[in-house]
Amino acid sequence: MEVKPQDPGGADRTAVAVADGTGAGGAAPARKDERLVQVGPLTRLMQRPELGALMGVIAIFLIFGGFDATANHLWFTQTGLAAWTQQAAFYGIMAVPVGLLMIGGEFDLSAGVMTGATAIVMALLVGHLHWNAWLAIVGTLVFAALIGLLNGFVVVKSKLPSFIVTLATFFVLRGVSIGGVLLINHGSTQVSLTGTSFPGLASAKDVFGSSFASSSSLPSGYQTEVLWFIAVTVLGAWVLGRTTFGNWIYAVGGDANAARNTGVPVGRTKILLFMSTALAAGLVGIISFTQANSAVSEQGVGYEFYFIIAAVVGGCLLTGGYGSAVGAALGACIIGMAFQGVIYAGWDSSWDFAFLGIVLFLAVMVNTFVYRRAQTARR
Amino acid sequence: MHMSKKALAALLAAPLLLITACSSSSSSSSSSGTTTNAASGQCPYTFAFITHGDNGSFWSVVYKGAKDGAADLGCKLSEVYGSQQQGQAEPDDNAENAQIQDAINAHVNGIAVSDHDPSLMNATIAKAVAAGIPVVMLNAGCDPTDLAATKAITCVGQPEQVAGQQAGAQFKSEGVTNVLCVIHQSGQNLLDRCNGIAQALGTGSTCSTGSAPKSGPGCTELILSTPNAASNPQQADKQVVSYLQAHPQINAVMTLNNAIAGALITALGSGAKAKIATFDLNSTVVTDLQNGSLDFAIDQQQYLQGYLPIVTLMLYLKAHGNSVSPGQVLDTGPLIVNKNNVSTVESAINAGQD
Repeated sequence: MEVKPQDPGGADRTAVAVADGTGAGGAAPARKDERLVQVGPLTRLMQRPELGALMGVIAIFLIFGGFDATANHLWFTQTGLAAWTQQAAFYGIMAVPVGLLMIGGEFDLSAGVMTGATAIVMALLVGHLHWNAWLAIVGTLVFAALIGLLNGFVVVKSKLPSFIVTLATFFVLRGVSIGGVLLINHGSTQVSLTGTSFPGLASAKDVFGSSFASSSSLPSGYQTEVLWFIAVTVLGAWVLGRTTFGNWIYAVGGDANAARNTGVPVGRTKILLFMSTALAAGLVGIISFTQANSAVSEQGVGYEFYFIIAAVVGGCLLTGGYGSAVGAALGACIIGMAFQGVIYAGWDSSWDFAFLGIVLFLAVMVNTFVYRRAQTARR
Repeated sequence: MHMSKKALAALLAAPLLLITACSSSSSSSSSSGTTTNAASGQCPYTFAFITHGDNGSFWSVVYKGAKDGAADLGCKLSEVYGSQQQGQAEPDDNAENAQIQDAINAHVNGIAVSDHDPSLMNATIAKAVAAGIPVVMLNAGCDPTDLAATKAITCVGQPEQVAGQQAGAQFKSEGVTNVLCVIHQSGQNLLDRCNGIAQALGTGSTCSTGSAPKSGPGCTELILSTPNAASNPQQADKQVVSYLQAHPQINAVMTLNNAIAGALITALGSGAKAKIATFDLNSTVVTDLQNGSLDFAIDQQQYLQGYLPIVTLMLYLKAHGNSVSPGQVLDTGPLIVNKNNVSTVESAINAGQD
């Protein structure tokens, strides 16, 4: 029994193979079955799709820490943490389901305007129809789910690209959010609460639009939105990694025909993905309304692009079939850091967009570098 | 000539009086209905109303002014355009320019237009004038050079630098002189406001960018980079809050959009150390002025920026070239509104006229 130690890990691997009873014994001593190659824990970690994004997050965090120009280095304090996490939470609650949808091979360009449209629905239900806030929350989520169902149903049945279908939804919702609000709201585009008594609103605000863990060093605390962000990320990661439905998502995004042939309900999977994106938009709408006690027409317009950016920066492929929920959440963290970091850095704000571009590019470079290293390490 | 000026003044005042008279009644549609009947036939003209605006709380009042003006006089509006309605986060100057050209091709009787990008639009506006179509500018481009270059009749609006100077003077009189000027979208008109503040504070002709000075007087611009800031003030104001954390020496914040001011007040809560002031009014601004969370607001009475161009165009056509403020700016602002005089503008706001 003689094995040439091709690499430092060679001896170990051979030992396993021998113990297995199948391996590199006898006639072809140097040949190993690559499926049996044991990889070290480090390589295995590096092969996780979210590791690149994590490295990106760490890199951007340190870069902004280095450039922090504030008097008492706020970036590394709780104040800094609260600042970028609340920014990231807004993007992240959407980036996770948008990422899942992208893994499933589809886009939702109505995701941005939906976060505003649902806030307006909530504002109208509470402010104009005087519903109990909790009932209004249910109503808002039902509204969101129906839009998602419509998006998914039309995409699946018409076989048109989701890019086109949800673009139509985007414009329709945007138009309705302007025209409808102007009509109902006596010519004003901002729906705010007038008066004082709104049943259930105080407790709903505690759950969705409040803050927690305030202390002497951080009087304003962290936004509860951040907890929702974490919850959505955990849920997304669990669905994608531990459930049959998660496997279906990868399958329909990788090759819909092959998935259908192996019995995956492609249509149902896609419709559910559109619905979960819409429900997340409903959650964001509820959160932003309870935070501000008002909603504005066209709120959320333009953000659909940033949700997709977060998912892509976090390692989801634009072509579908690959990516992770945690990665998308980390992508949202990078965007949150970028928007807050440029402020703390004290750079001339008229150059902000240039800095943002460089930061996002750096994050993706780090991500891709780590991913490629991981791919090489496998062989 | 003396007589015609009097008649002109009467004509100008008549619809305004009607509006004032009817503003106490709850239904504004009935008021415009009656005046349309009374006035129909007086104004056989079709006007194009073209702006760089969106459908936010500011511009919807301008459009209401234009529509009310046309209804009261019996004029037709071919369409009320705002270039920002068409899917962009920013005003689309090329689209607006194309709309002016469309109006020329359609041979409308008159054009009301906001000259948002003079370097692009002055030539097109001059073309309209050369083609015999009278033009009244509104809201943007209200300065004598642009009026001279375009040969537009007049510009109904608020000279932005003057408005900024008044805001700066107000800050100075209150003893707060380290001002952050928050810019929510691109446009020379917004930069002019900040520059005006710097001029009133005596820190130079332009408001600077970058880090704020350790102590006042100073004017620093913060250009928001979150998407679509005016309609997403909550996201945008996270950047303002961070800026204030990083620069605790700032003692006054000037927002150029009232939604940004409202969300900033909510975001800062009771922890607000700097005084907050804003351009433009709405019902939230009124409440915030009343409870003292907002220091003052600059009112440019934008309802008139919609209404007066229609009146001016009609008179120009009807009264053989007569016009108010020819070749000069017809000011609708700035009017400083604070706790003391807020009650006077409240009813106009509630009627959608401010």
